[in-house]
Amino acid sequence: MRKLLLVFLLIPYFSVFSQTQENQFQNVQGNYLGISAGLATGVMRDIVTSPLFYTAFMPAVNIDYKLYCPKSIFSVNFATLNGLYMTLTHDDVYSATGNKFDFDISYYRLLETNSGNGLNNYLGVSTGNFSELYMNSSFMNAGFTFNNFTDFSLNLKTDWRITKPEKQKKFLWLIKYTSKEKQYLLSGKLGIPVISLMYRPSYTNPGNSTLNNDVLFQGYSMNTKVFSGLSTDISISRILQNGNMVRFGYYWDFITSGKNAINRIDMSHHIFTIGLIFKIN
Amino acid sequence: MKTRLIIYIAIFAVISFYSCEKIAFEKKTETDSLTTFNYLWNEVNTKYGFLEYKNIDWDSIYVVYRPMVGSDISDDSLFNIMGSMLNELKDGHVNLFSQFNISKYDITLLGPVNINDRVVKESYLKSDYQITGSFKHNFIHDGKIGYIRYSSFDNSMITDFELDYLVDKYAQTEGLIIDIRQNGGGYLSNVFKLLSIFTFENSKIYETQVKTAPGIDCFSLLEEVTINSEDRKKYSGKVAVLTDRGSYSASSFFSVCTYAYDNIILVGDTTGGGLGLPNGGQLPNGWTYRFSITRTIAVDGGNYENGVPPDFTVILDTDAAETGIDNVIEFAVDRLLE
Repeated sequence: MRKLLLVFLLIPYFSVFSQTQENQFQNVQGNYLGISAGLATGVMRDIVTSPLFYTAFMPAVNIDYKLYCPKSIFSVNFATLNGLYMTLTHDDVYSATGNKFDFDISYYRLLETNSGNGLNNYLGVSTGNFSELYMNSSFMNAGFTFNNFTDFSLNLKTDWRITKPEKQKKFLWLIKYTSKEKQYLLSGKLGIPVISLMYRPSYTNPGNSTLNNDVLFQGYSMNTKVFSGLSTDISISRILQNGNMVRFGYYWDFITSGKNAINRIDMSHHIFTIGLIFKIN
Repeated sequence: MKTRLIIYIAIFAVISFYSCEKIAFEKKTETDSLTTFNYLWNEVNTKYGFLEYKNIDWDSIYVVYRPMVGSDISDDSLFNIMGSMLNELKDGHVNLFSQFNISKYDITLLGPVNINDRVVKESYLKSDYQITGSFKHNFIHDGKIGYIRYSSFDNSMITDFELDYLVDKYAQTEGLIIDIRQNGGGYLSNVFKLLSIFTFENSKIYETQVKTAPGIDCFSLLEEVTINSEDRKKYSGKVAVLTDRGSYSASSFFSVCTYAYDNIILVGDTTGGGLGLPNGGQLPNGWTYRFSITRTIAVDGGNYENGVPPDFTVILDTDAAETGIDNVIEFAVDRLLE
């Protein structure tokens, strides 16, 4: 069983690093499937139940599909974070379990006049749906919270193809060796959620479970917020000769329902991931 | 050179984003005693559902308690002050929780204990009583009456099997007593479940509404709560429900629902009340609290948050109890056999 598991885990590794015979890098074009994993931290404050910021510690898994065309990029992304929220006070520790599910679809169009020399700038739009649930038993009847945010965003994206040429180097000033040419794709994205629909507890968290029916989501409401936050994504991908990539990514976002909301929520995530990107065709 | 540039850009970005986060969220939360006190006072002021009903001047409560909170006050003293302030609400659903203490308002002390468990056990349940789930039960008065002692809605979820068993066992009796004296409440779903064995003509058992905004009368529209006419075995005889001040929360809900039933009478003392749903939350120093944020309106239009009055007030005669007689049960038996 262990051997089988080992083989299963190593298959993606070998498939990513299996090199073609030609010593030539391919263009980043076509279909790509990426799988990343990593760790997320961040903060969350839900004023409906607590004025305190809870710090998140959550393993993260991300699966994405990208279609790179000469003048556009289409991408579908799914991410999930599952872990703990904690806050320390002077005499106690409070914790909650948290689960997040994020799904978004984006389309980017190349800004041809602002691109060239390996640098591609894109303007794009995306729509995403982000669900989160957390359980904090310290809040008793108000212990369960579900949030769902749907947003429509404007995005700026930059891809910068960097070539590190072949070079003679010395190891410990003694052993000479040749560092092969390496290619990288540095990507940056800035997303601004123009309109967000926020579905969450409206004022008092538990709704009204004195109703003799399905009490889930009683007392929830949908609010609209313009410019509810920001999201960024920075990654550097080492491009292999077979077209696959190894990616190191850092994602950051924040969402707020605004200072004056009676059900104010503030959230921020920092997600660090390492992933493999497979060129499908 | 380019690699270094990339590293610098990445480090700069991470630092920038952490800074942006702090600016966007005003991340520091003050946790001093006065902030904590004010926060709790304000939460009650804006969210508690019964300030007006109980005729409580919450502003004057602030004037009394605020001067007691100094900057160098100990946690113990702060807790006691805030706990006392909350007890002004005279509500068993109101608590303050810390590592070292839980504040509470003991509603049962507002009235006499209307039951003597020893008498119930020796004279009514007797040694051959049955235990079905959380129900202790037996026949009394030569098998004419079924007696069911239900001491908590909190122990476990009532099952269909348990209810069917009870209905079958007492189907031939002339009446049924459900004794919820000193039953401090529990799961509301058990209330609806237990009610489902009684035949019911109407559908509404009470109305409810929840606080939706800070204003004193900002509640949602009243919503009718109905009982599902489950296709199940029903008890068709007369029923007496025994209550006292210790019948609180879910027990008060059960009692107030009986107002909608023609064949159920309430006997005993006024219940403890607690017809609001307690909402939990946290204070800036980490302590947690709960208080009610809903209100319940009975089918007769009354708000019985302070206690559901019985149809027949009967207080336990302690002298009679000395001789093994529970006059509350005896009164109920007489009514059921009329």
